[in-house]
Amino acid sequence: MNFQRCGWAYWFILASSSIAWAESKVTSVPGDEMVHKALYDEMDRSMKKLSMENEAAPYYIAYTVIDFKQSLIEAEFGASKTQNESKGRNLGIDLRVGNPNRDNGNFWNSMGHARPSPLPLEDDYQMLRRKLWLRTDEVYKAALEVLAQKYMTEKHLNKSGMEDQVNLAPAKAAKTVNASKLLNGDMESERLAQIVIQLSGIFRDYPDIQESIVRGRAESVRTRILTSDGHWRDEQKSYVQLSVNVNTQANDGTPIRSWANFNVAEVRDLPEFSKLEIATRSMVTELLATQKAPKVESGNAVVLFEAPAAARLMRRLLSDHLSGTPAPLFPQPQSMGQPEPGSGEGYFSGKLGQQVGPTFLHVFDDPRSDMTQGNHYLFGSYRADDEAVPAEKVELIQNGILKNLYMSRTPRKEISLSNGHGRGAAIAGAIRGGPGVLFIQSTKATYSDKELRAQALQEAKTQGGKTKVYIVKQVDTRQRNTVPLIMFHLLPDGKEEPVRGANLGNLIPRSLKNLIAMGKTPFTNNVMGDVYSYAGGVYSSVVCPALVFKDVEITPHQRVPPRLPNYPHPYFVKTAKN
Amino acid sequence: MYKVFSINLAVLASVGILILCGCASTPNPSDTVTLPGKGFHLALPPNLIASTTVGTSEVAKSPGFVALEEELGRASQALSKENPKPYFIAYHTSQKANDFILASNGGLIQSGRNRTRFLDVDVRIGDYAFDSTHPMSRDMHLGMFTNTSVALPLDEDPTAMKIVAWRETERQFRNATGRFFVLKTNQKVDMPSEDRSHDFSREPPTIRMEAASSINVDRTEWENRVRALSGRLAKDEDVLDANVSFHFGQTTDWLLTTEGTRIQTAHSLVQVAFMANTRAEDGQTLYRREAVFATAPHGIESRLLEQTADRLIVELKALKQAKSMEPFTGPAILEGRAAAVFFHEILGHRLEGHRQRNEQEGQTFTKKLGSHVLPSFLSVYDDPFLVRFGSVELNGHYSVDDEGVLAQRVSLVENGVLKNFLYGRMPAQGVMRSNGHGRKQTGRRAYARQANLVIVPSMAMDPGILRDRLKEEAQKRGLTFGLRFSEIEGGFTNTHMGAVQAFRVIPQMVYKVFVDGRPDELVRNVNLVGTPLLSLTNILAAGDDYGVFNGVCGAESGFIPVSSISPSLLLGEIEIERAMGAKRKKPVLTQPAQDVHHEVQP
Repeated sequence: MNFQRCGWAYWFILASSSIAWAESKVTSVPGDEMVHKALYDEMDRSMKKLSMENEAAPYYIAYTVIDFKQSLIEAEFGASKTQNESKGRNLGIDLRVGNPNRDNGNFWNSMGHARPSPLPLEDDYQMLRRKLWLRTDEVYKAALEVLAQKYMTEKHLNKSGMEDQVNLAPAKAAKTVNASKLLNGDMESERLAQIVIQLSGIFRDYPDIQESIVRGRAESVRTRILTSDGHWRDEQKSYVQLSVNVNTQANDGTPIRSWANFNVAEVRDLPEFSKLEIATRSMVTELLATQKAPKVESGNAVVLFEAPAAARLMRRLLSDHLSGTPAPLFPQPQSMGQPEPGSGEGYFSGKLGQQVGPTFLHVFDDPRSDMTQGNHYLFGSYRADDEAVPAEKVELIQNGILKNLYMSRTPRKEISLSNGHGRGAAIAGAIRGGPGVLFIQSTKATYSDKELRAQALQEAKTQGGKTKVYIVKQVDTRQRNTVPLIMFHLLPDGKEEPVRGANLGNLIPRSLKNLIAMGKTPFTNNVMGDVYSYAGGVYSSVVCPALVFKDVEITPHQRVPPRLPNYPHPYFVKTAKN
Repeated sequence: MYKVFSINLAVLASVGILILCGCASTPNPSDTVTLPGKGFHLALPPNLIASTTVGTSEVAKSPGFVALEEELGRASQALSKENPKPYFIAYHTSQKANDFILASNGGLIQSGRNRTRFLDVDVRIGDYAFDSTHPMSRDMHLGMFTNTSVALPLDEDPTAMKIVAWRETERQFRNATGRFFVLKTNQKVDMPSEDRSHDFSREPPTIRMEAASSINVDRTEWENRVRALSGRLAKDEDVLDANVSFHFGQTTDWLLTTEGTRIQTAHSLVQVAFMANTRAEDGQTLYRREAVFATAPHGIESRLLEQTADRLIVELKALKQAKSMEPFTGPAILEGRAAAVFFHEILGHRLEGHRQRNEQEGQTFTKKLGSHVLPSFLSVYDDPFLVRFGSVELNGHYSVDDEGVLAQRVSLVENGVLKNFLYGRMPAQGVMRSNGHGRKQTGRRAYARQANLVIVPSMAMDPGILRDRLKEEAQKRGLTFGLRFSEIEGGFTNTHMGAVQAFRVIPQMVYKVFVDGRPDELVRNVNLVGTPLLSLTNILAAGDDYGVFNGVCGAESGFIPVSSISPSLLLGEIEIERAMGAKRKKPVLTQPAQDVHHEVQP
């Protein structure tokens, strides 16, 4: 396989059936194809001509153009606080100099994250070409510098023979087009605003809630990627997230909070208002139940995570740690602000073939479908990844044994090819393997909610009389510790009593081995990505049922709580007078 | 923690820009003053126009205003039962409507409108003499980088507004109480500071209700104008990249305090900002940035914008041919706008009142009241009432400051003698009252800041004579040339005692003026640097050609619009240093539009 500079023409001939266009005058190209033509022409010119004296020429270029529209509304107590709409078009460039076995990729440099640059919104050929030209030139010169630094670092580390460190794996040229009409269609912002404002108004019924923010976010994203080895991706997708965030204080002043999210493709897909209201009120009722609840006691426990909490937990324990992309090489000597060597590599990356969970654990990622079998919309689905490699189903854990990892085109010794999971913008010169739609299943028995409770109680009994059982319904995994927001103590007689103020300190990827039972009905946890640069993460989904873990360390919060309000809520004091 | 203050052109898409608009005043003959030497004449004051709307105007209070008024009363009453209790609470809201457009090389990059309404709550525990805002030695001055605002409902829903105000008042009360206890302990442990001024001045309440600003922008028209302007810049073969942005902000501010102040003020600001760059033969990327300001979009003529774009191209092309200059000391003329930035940085910031009491500050002028700090032919004042300089609208205009105190014209330096400082409501040096210069960006605490700083010479020279004087000064020093600073991008200064008391002014157009009469020669790659006291004593003469710098200034209380007006100045000695900047070779390939044959440049 020839990846040398002259190979560019070869690869394009190979892919010509998928990316051919009419040899007509520029002005006659339809608007929608203008972007493609501008990308192709500038890429063609750069691959043929872009070269500095005595320096390497690019052997690979990928252009990523992201068009986005975004609508954001926030309301409290029936009044809108934020209402923004925006649209834009960004360009990302991955340009490699050297050769696939040693190039400028996967090396930490001062840039850190690849910086996207704005492109004109209009499909004007010359304007697009001009921006592409300038940015390609900048990226090319930076790539030469990075390659030189990388050579120097390898020499310093006596790693000149890093023959096993392939930087860019081949991938079969492909065309992926999944266009829809969403981007240019109606985002239904007004309808979304109406729902958000109306839903925020129900909090006039809750004197004990101090803050209630309802937020609606609708996005439509079109991603076009052209690579010099013949890949073309043109994919559109829309996302709508309606979230309700509620804050108040327990009777002793401890802040307590909860939330509810509704994720769909378009505003018209949102549940009817009465269902949104019921779900929101149910969440608030659970939160208020914890207001007067006793504080949790420290000790090891058996914990049943109901499906919404379990899906969130598994995002933390699994999906963030399954990247197989090798950690970037770091320049020598270390400079301030530079991450530790080895950082960026997933916890599981060195554990291929090892037992990482119970034998019934089956984990795979399949981004190819937009909906679950239960008809839930999946934010993480796609047809081709962010390197334009077609998405694949990846068997990650079978019978508790780690079988595979998320791979982009930056390979590792054990896995030489991409499996269509290169996600987000390049970090340290390489797009990294990441999740799309992660499914967590059991190959053996699954249990109903009632059966899971019985299993948990049985496990506690086995461990000894003092081991308690807790049920976690809502969990915050964004902090250092896993923090249950809605938590109940399950008594031996089956009664559930609310408790609060717990940290679950020892839940780390290794804790998967403490998983003892799984539920029947999966929940879909969706996360919005960062449409501007992917620096805030990628759109992804975790589909997971309820889970029971043993040996979970419970520690109570230690912070001194703030005082309760000195004077009453202005609305409810007025209502009381009335 | 070093404190560095900067002024520059306002920013769009992370592009710093500067603003300049020049106006020349007519020379006026002198009849009674003894002139210091050949070429001087009695100077005319600059052609400044002050606002005539100082009196109170009245519009009805809106439902949201009334809601906050009620909530403030409720908070005051409820918290008065606490111990310690607040002695002052203020609600400051800022409602903004922003229209923004960005175009690059003839293509539209961004166009949109947003509305925001934010609330800042100020709760003070203690009393006017010593309160919870008293400086702590370990305070980090991060005012420019922190924001304490909370969002208010966009529509004036009274209930929803009250809820936000209630929650934020509770939060700020808790913060103030905690801080006050720590301060009381510090008071027992630490030595008292030299300046024992009170923490907050007593001011009479102000009642003022201005009509809110509500101007509709024809976005399509402005999209076309901005797009065309960026294309006009980009069409020149030497221009690599060109951006033009339009930003129109309309702001309505409310201030309600437990002292009885009730204010609604409205203001608007349009900024059209230009940026174009090219690359010199030695690889240095050269920029020309400029901005045009006005209070309303219809006040900006297309002809002015086109002329600005065309001038930037000419200047950029000239810069590309200009030679890079080595470090130099010698005489220089700072033309009006350059001199205006020079004064803003080296004098204006050091005359801000709070710097005279903070012991972490360099306090360059604190003990110089009544002493000569400038040549006796120069006077300096700051006047927020000024609205225009000739036809140029001034950024620094306001009638009531951000602490609700009526603006005042403050005479700072008279005939070279320091007379006063700028004060907000933080007293210093035994001065117990504000002079209407407490200013802030939403989310920050107000500090004394400049508004419209005006430098006035009592005697001035025709620019031609000033130029001859420059050559004479160069000759005296055995130099073949002096320098002329024409266009300035901005500057910054450090006033903190933890670092060198120095300033840097960033010029864009600097010329060598040769003693032997050769034509002036443009140079590049220089910054003007120095220390304040020495630089001010080096001023030898002033011209009668005033220039105005409109810009945005950043300091502890955030970014605020300011103006500075100055005549050209002759300095006996300045120092320049080489400007930083990576050098890159010009693009390997030619512009796509020119590259019909895909030819590579040699």
